[in-house]
Amino acid sequence: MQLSIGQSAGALVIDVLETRLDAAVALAFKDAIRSATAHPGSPVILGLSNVEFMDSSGLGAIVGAMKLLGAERPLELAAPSVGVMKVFRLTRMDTVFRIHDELPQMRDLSAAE
Amino acid sequence: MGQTPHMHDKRTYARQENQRIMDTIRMLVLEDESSLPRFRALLEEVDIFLRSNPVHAQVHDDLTLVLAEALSNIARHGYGDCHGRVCLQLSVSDCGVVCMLRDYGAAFDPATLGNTLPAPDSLSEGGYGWFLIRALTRDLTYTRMGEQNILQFRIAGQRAGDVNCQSCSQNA
Repeated sequence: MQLSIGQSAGALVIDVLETRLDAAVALAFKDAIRSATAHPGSPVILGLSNVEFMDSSGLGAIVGAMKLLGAERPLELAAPSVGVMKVFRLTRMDTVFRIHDELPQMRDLSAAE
Repeated sequence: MGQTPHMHDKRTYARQENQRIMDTIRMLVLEDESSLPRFRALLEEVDIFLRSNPVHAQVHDDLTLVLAEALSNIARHGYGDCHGRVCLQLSVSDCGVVCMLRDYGAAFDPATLGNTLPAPDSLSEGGYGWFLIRALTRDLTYTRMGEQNILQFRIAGQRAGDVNCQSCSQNA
């Protein structure tokens, strides 16, 4: 699971470098988010611009990541593709996440696998 | 269809009709093992098929999502994380894609699945799959035949490049 991790103002920015968030990678995604969020910063902004395909398992993994972070450290999303946004909209989970149009400029911390 | 061609267009028209008939019977049949990594390979095959039989981008996206959901259900629930056979049959027509999925896993009752959405505030990590299948398909039918589950559905839409498809606008 390829992620790029950076900081922007006070936020921790995690850019997902995978093209698919599906059942095959859902567990690896949650693990990778768990280690990435060891870095400080709030909110956590998850960049989704590279993700071309997300199924309900991918959605579940993002919701799981949000719960993992707890109410003190909100998880926000950035730059979802049309297809990914459709899944959020159909499941009404677009009402739960703050969704940014673009990923904020970030100071790179590390590239994690 | 239903249009009278001009005389000098006859050959073009015949070729178009031929193409149309070929298109309506374009079919993909795949058989594979029902493990999650194998599904990616299966969906890639579907992608390749749809590149030579172009459908509207929305039909392509919806089909890929519905197949991913249906296939992971087969792997997880049908075969209880064990391996089994899956057969996928796709036919592309002017009005979208008709799909038939067969497996030999446990029987299920789609009537009880995906009728409601988990409340967004409940932050449920699951329970969306069948809701998405229902939301994106038409003419969904399920048959249990002997040891076989047969799931059939249609993803409606216009074929890429088609300005107007009569059946689609009638069904819309």
